Amino acid sequence: MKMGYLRVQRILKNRRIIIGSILVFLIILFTLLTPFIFPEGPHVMEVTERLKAPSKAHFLGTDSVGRDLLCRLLYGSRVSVGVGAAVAVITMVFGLIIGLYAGYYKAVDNIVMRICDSLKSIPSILLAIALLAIMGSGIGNVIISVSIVYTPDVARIARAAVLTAREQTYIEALEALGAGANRILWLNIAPNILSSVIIQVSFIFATAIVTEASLSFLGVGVPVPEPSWGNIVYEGRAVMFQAWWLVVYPSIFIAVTVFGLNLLGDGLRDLFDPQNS
Amino acid sequence: MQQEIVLHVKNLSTTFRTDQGSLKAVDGVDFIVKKGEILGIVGESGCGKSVTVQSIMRLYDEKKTVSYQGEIFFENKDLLTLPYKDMKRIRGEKISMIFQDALSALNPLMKIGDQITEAIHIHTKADRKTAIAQGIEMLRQVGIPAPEKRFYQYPFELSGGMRQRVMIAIALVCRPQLLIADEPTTALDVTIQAQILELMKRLNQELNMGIMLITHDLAVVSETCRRVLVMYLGQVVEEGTAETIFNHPGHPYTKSLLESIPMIGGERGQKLRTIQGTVPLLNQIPAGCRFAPRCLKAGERCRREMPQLAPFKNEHCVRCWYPNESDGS
Repeated sequence: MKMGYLRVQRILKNRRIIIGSILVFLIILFTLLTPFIFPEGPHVMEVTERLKAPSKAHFLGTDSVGRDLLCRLLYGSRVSVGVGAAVAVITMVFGLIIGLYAGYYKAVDNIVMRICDSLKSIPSILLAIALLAIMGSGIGNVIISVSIVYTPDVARIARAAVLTAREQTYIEALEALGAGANRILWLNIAPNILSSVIIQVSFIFATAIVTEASLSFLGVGVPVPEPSWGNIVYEGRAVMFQAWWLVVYPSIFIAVTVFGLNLLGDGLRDLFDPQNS
Repeated sequence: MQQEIVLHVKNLSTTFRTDQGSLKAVDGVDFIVKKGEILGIVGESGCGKSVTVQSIMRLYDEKKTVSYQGEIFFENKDLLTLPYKDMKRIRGEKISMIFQDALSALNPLMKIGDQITEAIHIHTKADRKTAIAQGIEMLRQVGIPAPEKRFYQYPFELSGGMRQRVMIAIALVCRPQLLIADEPTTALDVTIQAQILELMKRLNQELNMGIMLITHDLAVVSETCRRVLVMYLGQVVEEGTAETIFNHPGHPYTKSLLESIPMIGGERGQKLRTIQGTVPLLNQIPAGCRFAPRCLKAGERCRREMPQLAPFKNEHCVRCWYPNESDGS
C-alpha cells in the first residue's frame, strides 16, 4: 500500500505529532495505571509525615495532612484528564450537530449562532463559575458547564466549514440526484469538515484541563477531598512557603499535559492541511 | 415517426429577486424533449441556458430568491407545482443532471463506488450487494476499463475523461428518462470530448431517454444533436434541426455565431468575425428585439417591437422581423 506508507512517512516526519502523542500517551498510560501503582487510593493520611519534602519514601513529598503528593497527582490526573476528555467529546458532538444545521439552514443559523455569540461574549471562567453556581459543584457539573462554555467554539468552526463545503458543485450534484438534507449533511458534508473540527477539539481538550484546574483552584470545581490538579494547588497555596512542592509539581503536571495536547493539535493541523503536503 | 414526448416546457419564465430589482433570466421559453433524441441548447454566456435547466430541476432556493411562471410538464405532472418531496423523488431517478467540472462535482473524500451506490440507495431499497453489482455494471456501460478496480478508487486517482464518465454513470444508474447535460465537455480536451459525446449518443439510443445538451460550443451541437435551440438573453431566438440551423440560419444572431467560429485552414492573419458589443445586463434589456443593438440588419421596427418566435419553414422557428432568406432552402 503506497498511500498508507506515504501517510506514515508524513506522520513520522512531523516532530510535533510524535512528541505530542508520546506525552499524551504517557499521561493516559499513567492515568490508567494509577490504581495498580497506588492500590490504597489517594486518601491515606500519615499524620507523622506531614509536609515532608520529596524523598525516597515520598517521591514528590507529602501535603499538610500527610498524603503522598505523587499518589494524589496521579489520581488527580484521572479527574483532570477525564474532565478534559469528556468535555472534548461532548463539545465535538454538540458543536458538530449545531454547526452542521446552522451552516445548512439559514433560519437555524440566525437563532443558534446568536446564542453562541452571546455565550462567547461572557468570559469563559466567569460563565463556568456562574453555571456551577446554579448547578452546584461536582465532577459531572464541571463537565457540563465547561462543555457549555466551549461548544460554541466548535460550532463556529464547523459552521464555517459547512458554509464552504455546501457551495461545492458536488453538493449541488447531490441535490440534483434527489438526496435529502440529512444524507447530504451527515454522509457528505460531515466527513469533509471533520478534520477542522478535530483540530479545534484537540485544543479544547487542553483548554478544558486548564479551565477545570482554574475552577478547582477557585474552589468551585471538583470538591475536596477528591483530588484534581486544580484543587491540589488550591490546598497547597496556603502552605506554599513551607512546602513549595505542593504548588510546583501539580503545575508542572498541568503544563506538560497542556503542552503535549497543544503540540498534538498543531501537528494534526499541519497534517490535515493540504497546503502542507 | 411520432416519438413520445418526455418533457414539455411551456412559457417558462424564471425571475430572480435581487438588490437591483427583479431580473428575468428566462423569459417565456417553450420547447419539448422527445424520447431517444438529443436536444441542443446553445447561446453565449449569460443567455439563460443554465438557468433554464436549473429551473427544470428546481435547484434554486424558492423561498427567497426565485419565482417561476409557466409550466413544465413531465409525466403529465407540472414540475413547478409539485410539492418539494415529490420533486426530490424525481431528481436523480427520473431526471438526472451532469455538470461541467466533474472533479468538483464528485465528493473528493468518497470512493467512486460509494458515490454511485449512493444514488441507488437514495431512490431504491436495493441492498448493498445488489447496489455494488449495479454500480460496477454501470461503470462498465460507460466504458470504464477495469470497473471492479475503479469502483474502489477516489476521484483524484482518475483522469478528467474518466471522471466525466463516472459522473454520467452516477446520473444514469437509476435509468432516468431525461438527462440534462450542462456543458459536459467544456472542461475536456477535444479527443476526450469526442469520446464523451460518442458515449452520450450511444447511451441515448441504448436507454431510449431524452437528453438536453447545454453548450456554447457549436461544434459539439452539430456533431450530436438532431434539434437545436438557440437562446439569447433569456429567450429562444431560433429553433430547428441542426442541419437547418447550421446550413441556413434564419436569425442574424445564429448567423453571426456561426461566422465567429475560427476555421482550421482559414487564411492566417485574416480577421475573425465577431459579434459587436456584449450581452446586455438583465436590468438593461433593450425595448423591441433584444438583439437589435448588436444586429447589423436591425431596422426601425426592430428597435420598437419585439418579434415573436414564428414558424419560418417546416420545423424551423425564428424570432426575427427579417429572417434570413437569402440562403433559400
